Amino acid sequence: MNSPVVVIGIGNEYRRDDGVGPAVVAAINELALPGVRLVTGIEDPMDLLDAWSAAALAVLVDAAVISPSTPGRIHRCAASDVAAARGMSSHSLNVAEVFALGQALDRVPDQLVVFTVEAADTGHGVGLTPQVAAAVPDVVATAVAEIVSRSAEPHLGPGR
Amino acid sequence: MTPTTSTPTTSTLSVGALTRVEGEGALRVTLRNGALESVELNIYEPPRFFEAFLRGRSYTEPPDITARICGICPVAYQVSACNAMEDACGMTPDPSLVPLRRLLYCGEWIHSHALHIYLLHAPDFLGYPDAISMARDQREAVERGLALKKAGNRLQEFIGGRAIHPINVRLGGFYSVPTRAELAPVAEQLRRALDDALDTVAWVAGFDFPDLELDYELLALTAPGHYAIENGEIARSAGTSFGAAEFSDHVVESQVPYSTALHATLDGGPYLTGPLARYSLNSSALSPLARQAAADAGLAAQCRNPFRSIVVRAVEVVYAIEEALRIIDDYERPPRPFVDVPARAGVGHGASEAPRGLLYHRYQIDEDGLINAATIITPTGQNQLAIEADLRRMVSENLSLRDSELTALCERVIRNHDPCISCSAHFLRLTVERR
Repeated sequence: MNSPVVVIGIGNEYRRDDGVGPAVVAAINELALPGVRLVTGIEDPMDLLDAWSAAALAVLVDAAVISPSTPGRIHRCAASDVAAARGMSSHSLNVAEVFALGQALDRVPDQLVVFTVEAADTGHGVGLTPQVAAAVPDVVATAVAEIVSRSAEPHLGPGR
Repeated sequence: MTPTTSTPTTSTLSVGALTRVEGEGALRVTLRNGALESVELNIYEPPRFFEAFLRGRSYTEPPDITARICGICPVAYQVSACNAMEDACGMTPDPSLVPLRRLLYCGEWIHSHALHIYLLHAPDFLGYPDAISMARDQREAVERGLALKKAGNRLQEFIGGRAIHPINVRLGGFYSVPTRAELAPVAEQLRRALDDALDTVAWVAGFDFPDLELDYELLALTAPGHYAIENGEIARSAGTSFGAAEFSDHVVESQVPYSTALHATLDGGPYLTGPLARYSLNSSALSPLARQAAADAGLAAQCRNPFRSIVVRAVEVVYAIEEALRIIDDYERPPRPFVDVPARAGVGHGASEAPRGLLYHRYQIDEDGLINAATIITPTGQNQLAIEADLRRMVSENLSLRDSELTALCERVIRNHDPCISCSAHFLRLTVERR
């Protein structure tokens, strides 16, 4: 079940713009890219360990709530940009902490790329706001470019 | 931690945030002339007003609203809320549906305890600052802990509809109930987890435990024929049992100036709820396998050393998995997923055993089914005085330690109780002041 690439959409599509991660995954699914596994429905960040283990590239897409916000603005960062783990609490392991735990257990992808999209509305309801919906094709295009460029690297054949 | 010395006789240690607990708060330890003067567990997280905003809501809403108090023990809130509201409406849950509530609750015990044992508590005993450092050396153990946690999460997800804040619980039962065949893969995962749980007991039994025997009272649910989880009478170590309806006759909450969480007393004194209390009051009700695991791990019929709570939690995981397997084995799909619970004016009380201890709910509703009053008393709120008592004992007995060592010991004492400050109001800055 391992694929060289996994795209993980974080978020709840019943909370408006929080659904941008699953929306990007749905759009990439339409492209039927070979060797790309798609994951949504992650509730516990610890489940990321299973989702990205043994992948050469993991692309993680999530909504960001920022104040002040520019809805639809896209941010890209790598694992090294994510703040170091500060110690866990029982309730709030973040992506950086799960990544650090995964490193200790040798259960991280070779490369992690995180895209976040600034949200306008995370209230109840389905459907993205127009600003965030407009950002989806850009995230998809950038993510696909990352996937293609990574897949072009000679040491990454299918079935890794 | 930043040690600073302002005068030869006064020193203050500050810890920016106590880690591996949930929420925000602080601990202030004051020593005068080398003797302990005071210990104050200061929870400064803003109050969350759940009891206030439940007023005016429909009597059907507390299971979903109060579940949001906690991301780790939402089932406890759902079940205590259902118990209380069904009591208010004069309704007894359908016996065919009770085992499913207990099964869902077993999932919560398994994942919550596995998380605390492996990622929060074990590093204290093995000398690591956190689980990530521990995982580098103890990979097999941490992987076992994660597998165990996952088994609990999957069980909770399967019965509850999702792993965090389940959505399948309602007054009178569930929105939908599984078929027997659907439970087979869950049982398969649990059977593997049982081996991991037994290995966990053996692993933690080998840790070194500081000497500490608590002498305050213990309070936990008790039930005939099995280890109480989803309901029961309230048992205590120094007195007779009482029903949930009498809880407020014995347990009184009061405000202290240094904390936003209320302090609870049992008939005026400090008391402890949670794994140690449950085990000490109910160990004879454990399954033979869990009792044997406890005995092999060196536990007697009672355990009053909070450092050994990690062993008790491990034993409870064994029990919860066995119990889940037993329920699945006996399971026949109930004829209806729920029974109607018509509203009637009244007051209801409910309690259940959250992973961290007894969780009490009380609701008063009117004839239209609207909530007039709500009271929620959490395990961590109840345990604050007991935690302070542990801290006083440990600090008094270890005054010769350097401040940094004393600080580390205080943090361990607090983590023994797996406090969930988020539920009690959130944790932790620590100050030791020597005057």
